[in-house]
Amino acid sequence: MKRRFFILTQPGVAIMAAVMVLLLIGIASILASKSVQIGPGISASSEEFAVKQGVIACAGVVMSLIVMRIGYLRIAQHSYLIFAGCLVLLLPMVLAKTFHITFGGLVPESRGAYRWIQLPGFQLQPSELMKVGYILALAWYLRFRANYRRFSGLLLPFLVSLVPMVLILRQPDLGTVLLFFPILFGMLFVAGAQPKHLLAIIALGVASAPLLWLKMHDYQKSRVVAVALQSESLRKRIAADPEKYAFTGFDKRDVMEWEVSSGMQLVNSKAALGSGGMFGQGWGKGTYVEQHFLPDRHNDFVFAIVGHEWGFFGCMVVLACFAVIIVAGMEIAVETSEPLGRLMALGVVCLIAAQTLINLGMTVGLMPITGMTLPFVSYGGSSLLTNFLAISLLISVSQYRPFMLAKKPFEWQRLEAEGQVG
Amino acid sequence: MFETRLKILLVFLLFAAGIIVARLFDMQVLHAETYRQQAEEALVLPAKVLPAVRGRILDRTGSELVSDEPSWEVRVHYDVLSMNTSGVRNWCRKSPAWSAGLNEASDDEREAWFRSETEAMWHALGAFGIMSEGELRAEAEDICERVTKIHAQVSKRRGFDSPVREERMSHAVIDGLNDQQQIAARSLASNWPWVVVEDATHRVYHAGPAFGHLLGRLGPVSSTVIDEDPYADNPLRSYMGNEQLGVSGIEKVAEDLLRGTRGRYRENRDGVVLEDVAAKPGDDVRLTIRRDLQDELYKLFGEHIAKLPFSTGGAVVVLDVKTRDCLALVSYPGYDPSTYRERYDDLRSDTRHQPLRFRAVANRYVPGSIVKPLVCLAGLITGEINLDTHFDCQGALFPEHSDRWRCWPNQSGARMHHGSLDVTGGIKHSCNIFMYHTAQLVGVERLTNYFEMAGLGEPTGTGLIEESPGINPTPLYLEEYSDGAVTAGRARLYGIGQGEVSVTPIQAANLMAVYASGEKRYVNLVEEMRHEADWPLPGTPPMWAAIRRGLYGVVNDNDGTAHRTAYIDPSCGYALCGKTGSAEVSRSWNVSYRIPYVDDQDHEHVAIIRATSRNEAHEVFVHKYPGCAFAPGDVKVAEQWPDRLPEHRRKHSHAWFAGYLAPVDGAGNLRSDRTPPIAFALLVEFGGSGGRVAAPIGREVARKLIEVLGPDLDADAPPYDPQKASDGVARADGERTP
Repeated sequence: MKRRFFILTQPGVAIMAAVMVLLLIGIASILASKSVQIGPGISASSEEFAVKQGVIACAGVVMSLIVMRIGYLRIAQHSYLIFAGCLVLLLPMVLAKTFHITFGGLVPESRGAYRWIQLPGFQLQPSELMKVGYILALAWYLRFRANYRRFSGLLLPFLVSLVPMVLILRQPDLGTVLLFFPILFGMLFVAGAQPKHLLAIIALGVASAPLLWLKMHDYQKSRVVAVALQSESLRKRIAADPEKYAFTGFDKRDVMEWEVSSGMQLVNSKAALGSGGMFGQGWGKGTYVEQHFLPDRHNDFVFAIVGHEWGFFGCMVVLACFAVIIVAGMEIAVETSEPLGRLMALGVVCLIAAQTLINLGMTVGLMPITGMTLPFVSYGGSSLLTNFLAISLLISVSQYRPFMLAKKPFEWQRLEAEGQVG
Repeated sequence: MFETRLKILLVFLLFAAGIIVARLFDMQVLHAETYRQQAEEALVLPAKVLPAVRGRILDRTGSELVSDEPSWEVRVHYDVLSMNTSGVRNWCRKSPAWSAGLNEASDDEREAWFRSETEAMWHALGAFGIMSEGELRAEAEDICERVTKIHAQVSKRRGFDSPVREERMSHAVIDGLNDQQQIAARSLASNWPWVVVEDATHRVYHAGPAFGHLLGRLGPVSSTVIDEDPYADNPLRSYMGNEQLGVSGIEKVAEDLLRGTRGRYRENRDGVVLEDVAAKPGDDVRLTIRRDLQDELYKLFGEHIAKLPFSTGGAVVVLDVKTRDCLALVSYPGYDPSTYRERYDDLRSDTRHQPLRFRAVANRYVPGSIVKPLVCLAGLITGEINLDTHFDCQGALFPEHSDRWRCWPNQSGARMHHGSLDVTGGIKHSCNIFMYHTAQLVGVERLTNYFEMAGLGEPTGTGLIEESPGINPTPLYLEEYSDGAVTAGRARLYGIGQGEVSVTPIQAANLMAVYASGEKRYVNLVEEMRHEADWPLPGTPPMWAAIRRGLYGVVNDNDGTAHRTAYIDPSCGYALCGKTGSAEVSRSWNVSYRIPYVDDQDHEHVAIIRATSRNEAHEVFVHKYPGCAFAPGDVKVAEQWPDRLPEHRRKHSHAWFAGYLAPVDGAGNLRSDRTPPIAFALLVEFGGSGGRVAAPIGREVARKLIEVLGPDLDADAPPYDPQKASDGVARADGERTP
């Protein structure tokens, strides 16, 4: 027998180990930021936040154990109910945004957005829960079907996906909405949807991008623009002749004040990362990240702290941890022959991978800035619990290996060859 | 197939991760140094500006006229001055310490709190006692308007709308606090983080009203200044919107010298000092003015003008002939520079005396007879007349029209005439007929050419922005501003110093220095900014001697026009030579119009314009304040003075006396080996006849000069002490006349 890696033989343990490493790195980074801005002009000691993160992590571990004990199959039976519950939880935010009411402080406003339900002791972010609810519902829907192999069969999954997306977009929270696409596409792809259908839908999406651009808020547009404006030569060219570059939609001001307006976060996050060098400034030694240059540096931009304090080496460790989670997650999907487990495992992998790539992409300045956390590293209760929930479902899949006489699911080529589906 | 697709997905993810790794490698390994520098730069705290002390202005002897003294000022942040939306929001979100109770408050509550706090601040600052609340708010409004203008101009230059640094700064609303006041102000300011008390300096004037115009004033930096700032590229020297700069007088002339260079202090957030450049104080500026002389002459003028029924003021200018150093530049009435701000409204509304006018350089008057020697000189040099030429004065140029082109004794019914005169006689008697003949022979073109050679029609080089160039009516000028007709009649008029030609008192004094030395030079006012060039006028020594003999005769010959009123005993070693002049006042001098107008910054102003008619007032206004709006209906007569003409005279006239002190030998004869050391000119507005009114003052001025400058008329003589002076003069006289 071929010798196999630990990740592949014990995927559940490997994932748990990677998650623990990420959690420790995250807590260390939060501590390193010394103080945390919690509101306009109000900051608090980062120790408080580190402790809070630790407590939530413990709660997450306990929750994971409970979920694993129950088993994913028993939970998944209520998939549609869970999905509906999450939708209901999203409603207060939509109402709050539409009518500008806070339900007596239950749904607080933050920078013009309504994203949380304020509960005693913690804030619940329903859009985070929705991610897991969505994976469950989609997996439950797709598990025994074959109709998504036809274009018309893709219609229903897409339409159903639109419901939570529209509700979350209303909050507004574009970043979370964008996360639904990789999950949907990833799950459909591995479940065997025709690539040409998926490509057609992507082409449709690209074609409608200008329409989306028109509907975007100014601050969202400026974030997209900011990515392109990182190029100094482009900025100089536009500043020299704004008329000629009018088609880009950038005016002279965008360009001249890029570093202090739309490009500020990008510049700061890149400076923090880049100045880390090969091995970083050392933990707790970087004055730069202690200053309030980077808003949200303890959550969305936590990777900048990692890069500043531990350098390229530290970044690679974080990336390796995520690689472990993803490879092990895929191994779990391969190993199981239970269709629901397969899809669910894959959905969780897509969720983690997409969040990681989007967050890293924006931190290194390759993507527009969206409110996306780095799983297990960023500070944030709802996000951490959601990720624990997702991971525990994944591990649960690896623990439950039902003995099945049926052929492995989603092996459409073989089935087609045998003429079992038309 | 499931596994294949998983592998495709994995490859896709690895590819994406690969891009991120490559990017990280590029940033953290290849370009780490660039980003490290960037991070270090970001850690630098905003630079602290260290204001520079403005230089002092000293008089010739080194006595302090103005100096910068340390004081403190209360500054308020621009956000609070303007209360714009973003500024208010900014402050509502800032400073957790003092808004501790508001952490949970809504934006509306914060804003209401902030507004009540700023109201309380204005109230408290008003109660502080230096400026009233209303004045402070008006000041705040002024600052905002200025900054808005700067914003507009900078945006225009950059091509897009963007904030300027003035919008992120604090601006002084109360200045000149003393030590005690600043302590009280500090405790007040500690209530609000947007109020700060900072070290500053303020101008302290050690000189009185004689120096008000001359020293000039400081004013806030305007958008125009920033736009045309020659030091825009130098961060330590460029003008900032919350600074002051010289806007008039010497403060403006010597702005570049007086103004120092700001210092700058920068440290980073780790406490490392990165830059500590001390402010470089401005240079002291030394004037050529003698303070003692200036004060004495101002006092003298005040006494004399008070005695004249119609006079509204006057000016006297004293020049050192050889160097053209201006020893006194007196404009009466003046104002005390230290109380200027408080008295500004009174000073401005005095439309009769117009104490804000710098008469000595800014007002131009018809020169009258004081140009007559120059006309003779032009005739001699051009060869149209020679030293033997005689013209017969029968009281009028054309005997058959005895009421036109008359000579001055032939007026008011007295039919007198001079008879046959040569150049010297013509000057001595100030004979109009002689000048008519000479001027029409020379013609307008050549005559004005000689006027120009003597410095008429151009500023004298003091650099004062107040200075008027006067008018030299060259054919070119006539073409542009008049009907352009170059006629013999015009030449005759110019020959007696009437018509379009006009000069300022300082030009008149410079003209006298030209008579005395035969050279045109620019006038020096600031030691550090001397002019060295000279332009000798043509003319042979006999010609000059004849002119000078004429000027000598005016005062020293028994039949000279000013002998009775201006003669001084030559035993002091000098003879006063000079020329009187009566400049007929056109009606424009009598009436001033009040024109309320709105400038392009929407400020309401009132312009006081002297003009012969309402229409002319409009024209003058439009010329002087282009682009300002006014309603023709609002133009009112502000002042008509002198309102009533004395019955025996047709017109009022300004009285001139201009002359120089020429060295004489023991017998009282002019010494040709020494150039006269001092020249001066004085003018009395609405004084009447030069001979009767100005000449006696001229005599007083001459005596004062000898008294103050000593028997050698040395500009650098030790400062004059009135106590000792009486002995000194007595002793000098004693030596000469035993």
